[in-house]
Amino acid sequence: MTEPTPQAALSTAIGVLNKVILGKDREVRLALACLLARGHLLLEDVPGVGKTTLAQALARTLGLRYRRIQFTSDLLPADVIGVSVYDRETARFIFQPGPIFAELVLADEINRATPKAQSALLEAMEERQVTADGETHALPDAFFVVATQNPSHQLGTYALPESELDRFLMRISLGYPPAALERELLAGVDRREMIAGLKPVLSAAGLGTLQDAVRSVYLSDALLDYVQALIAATRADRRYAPGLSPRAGQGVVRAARAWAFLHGRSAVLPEDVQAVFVAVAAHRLQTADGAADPLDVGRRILGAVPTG
Amino acid sequence: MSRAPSAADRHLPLACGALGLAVLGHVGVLPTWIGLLFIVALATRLLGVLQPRPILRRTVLAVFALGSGVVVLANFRTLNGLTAGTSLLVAMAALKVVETERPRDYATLAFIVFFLSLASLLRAPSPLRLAHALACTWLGVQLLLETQRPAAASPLPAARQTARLLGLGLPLAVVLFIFVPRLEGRFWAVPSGGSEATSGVAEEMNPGAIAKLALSDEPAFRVRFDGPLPERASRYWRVLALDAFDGQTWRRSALAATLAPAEPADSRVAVRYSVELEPSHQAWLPNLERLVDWSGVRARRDADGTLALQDNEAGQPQKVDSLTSYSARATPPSAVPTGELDATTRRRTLSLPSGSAPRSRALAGEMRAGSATSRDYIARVLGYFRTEPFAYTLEPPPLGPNPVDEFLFTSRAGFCEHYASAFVVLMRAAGIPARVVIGYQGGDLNAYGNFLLVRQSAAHAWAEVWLDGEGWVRFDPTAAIAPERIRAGLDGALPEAEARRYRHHFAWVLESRAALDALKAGWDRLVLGYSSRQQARLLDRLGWIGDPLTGLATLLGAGFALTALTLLTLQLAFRVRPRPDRVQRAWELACRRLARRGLARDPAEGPLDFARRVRTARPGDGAAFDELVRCYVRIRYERAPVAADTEEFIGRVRRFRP
Repeated sequence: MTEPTPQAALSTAIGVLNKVILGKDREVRLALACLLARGHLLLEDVPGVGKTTLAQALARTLGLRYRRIQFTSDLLPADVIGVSVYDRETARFIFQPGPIFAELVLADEINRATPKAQSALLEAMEERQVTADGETHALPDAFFVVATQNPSHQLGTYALPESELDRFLMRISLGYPPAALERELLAGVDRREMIAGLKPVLSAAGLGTLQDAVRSVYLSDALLDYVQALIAATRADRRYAPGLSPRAGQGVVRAARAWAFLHGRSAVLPEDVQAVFVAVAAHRLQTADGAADPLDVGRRILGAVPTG
Repeated sequence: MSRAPSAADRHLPLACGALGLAVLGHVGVLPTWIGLLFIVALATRLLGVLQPRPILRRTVLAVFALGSGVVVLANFRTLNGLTAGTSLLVAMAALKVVETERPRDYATLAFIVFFLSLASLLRAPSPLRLAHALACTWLGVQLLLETQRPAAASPLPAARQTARLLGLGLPLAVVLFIFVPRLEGRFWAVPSGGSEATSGVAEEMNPGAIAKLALSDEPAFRVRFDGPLPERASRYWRVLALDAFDGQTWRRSALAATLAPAEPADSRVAVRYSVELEPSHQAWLPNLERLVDWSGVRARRDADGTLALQDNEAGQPQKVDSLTSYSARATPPSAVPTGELDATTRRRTLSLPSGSAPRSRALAGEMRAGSATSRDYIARVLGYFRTEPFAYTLEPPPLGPNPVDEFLFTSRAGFCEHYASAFVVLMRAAGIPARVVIGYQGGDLNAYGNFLLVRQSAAHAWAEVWLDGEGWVRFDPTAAIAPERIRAGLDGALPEAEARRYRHHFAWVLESRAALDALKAGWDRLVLGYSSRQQARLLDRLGWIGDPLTGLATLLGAGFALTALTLLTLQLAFRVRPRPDRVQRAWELACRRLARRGLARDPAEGPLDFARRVRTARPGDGAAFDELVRCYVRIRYERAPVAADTEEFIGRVRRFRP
């Protein structure tokens, strides 16, 4: 059997993931697009809708080394990054890498940890390296953080500040599955066993190739006009205090490229932008009562800006 | 010390081109050495770009500049005046090119270009020169813009910006032209300098004076007739009557220049016409014989029938230095009854210098003795010219101290002035008052403009003889020798060898010349002829009552405001809604057609989403629309669409009828 092309592997991966996470094709694709765009993903939802399952399944299928960090209120930065321990034989401190040295890190319930522990993770996400005891250690080439968080109004949470939310390319919610599929879920095999039985269809190297290919997806002037009009609309709308930043704009373009690539297109269309826009923009837009409601962003901005 | 090629050198070709074009407007009047200096300077600077070379020291340049000034001064005896000033400017521009280095220097060159093109318009405000000035302005503005442009940028935006700037300026220029008060006379009191020759007939007649004019194709004046065109043989345009003869030269006596006695106006069978006279730098206004009255200019009629332009204030004679139009009425020669010739004029028009032309006088006495009446005598003289071997030529042999005798008896070859002169001498010798008249004969009908064009080559000399009871009667001895001159113009009358040398015989040359002249006539009437009178008429038509200057100022302000408002509106309109390109227009057409079937595209809807909706709602049109959308997406969003895609897409939209 010959090695499947990365493109073909990608559609296989989508099929596999859809078998694990039922009825969430769109969210699965968004999560994949996020990884293809080299972005970190924030899953926000109530407990028990399959956030962890999605992260694990992603790691298995894409063939990435996977570590999980359970964030708690007493978690210390060293628990994330690692510690230097004194080795008596060599009379030296030796760095013991923490769980962050993996290719896909699941930061579970990130908003349960204190801001200090959160910032340790978020620094690593931005720099793709960690510094302990004055020494800098590079993280693997493929390095993704999938963080999950409970809606911030739940008890015992520390909401992420907006500057740190900005580190996540996308924020998505899974929500409950449709009734028929939920029934299938209830009747079917245990998801944990299912994940254990998953075979990787890609590797970190294969993913890297795909990520490079995403960057060559073409952006036409007409499309950039459209993206700029969207960004301008968020800035002109008085409900969103500062509007989208230039970095957020870059994020929209990156995500849209990945989405187009995922759908086998060599150029980005307005539909690609529309598909990713809410996931990329909603958590960066602030309204008076916290982050903007995704439904609102979709209706107000996407519905008001002509595609040109 | 040598100069390394600087970044600003990239403007050099444009600067040299603009300067060269501007100087072209002065070619022919500038001294040769200026042209050489200019070419050498430009070549030196251009070669300097290719190869680093020693800089000319400032002191050397200063010496050159001073030297050029001195030579110009020596050439023209002045630095003032159009040609002298232009020469100096061109010389300085040439030296400026040599030291040009920074963008600032190029800006200076651009202003020199503007100035030179304006100076070219001062020479003659012709449409060709206007086009030339516009081209120069274009290049100058482009040069100014280029100096502001970063080195890497493409030159195209600068060209586009130049076009836009000039386009914006044009309406303002038109408003200024129409509403700025026109000054009477010449606004630019340009000292014209000694070298500018006068054109048109001279105020005195030497043998050879008119022959020189016959070589000139320059237009002298244009005439439009109200009613039918008089036949060629009667189109004698009088300019000046010459009554004093010193044996060599015919001149106009002071007596002739006295004001004409008021004559009873006679308007029977009047011919009406209007004349547009080219600058002749003389006061005389050409007219048909027996002028009745005139309008449109201030002029005086002298005793000899000459009409002279006067200035507006003191009534002094004024030279025709700019295009002048007037209308006049004249009667055919036979229509005017006449009185007696007063004694002074009779004496004046009978006198011959004592001792001159003895053989001619003898001949006159002989022929007069054999004739019963004055008319008989005149017929005999004309018959003498016709029967004796006289030749009509532009190249007569030079004549000695007694030209009339030599011409009549020895050389027997000459041009109209020889015949007119000899004829008048023969008349006076026989006691018949006579004078020489110079002017123009004939003129060609321009079919494009429906006017009569009289060129300098139509210059002619003939005679007027006083016959009791008939008054001054025109006789043209040239008609006796070369009747073709009167019937068909100069071309037919000259010996063939001469004609071939002096005339164009190609039909297309004549044809295109006529077309160009019609263009020029229109320009003269609409642009150069636009005077304060026309402005007053415009104010009148617009219903302005009151001081014309206030009216013009108001209109000027209003015109400016209106222009500014229009431009602003256009600018806003263009900013708000950029003009969609062909593809977008076609796409919108296809969407409109679907909307008419109740399937409107949400403006915020992407093309693929819309196509999907169409497929579901109208399965019949789905496939065709799918193809159309695929094409649209390829053109609009994909890399490197080709022109064929656009054509295909527009074709599909055209065929798409849901």
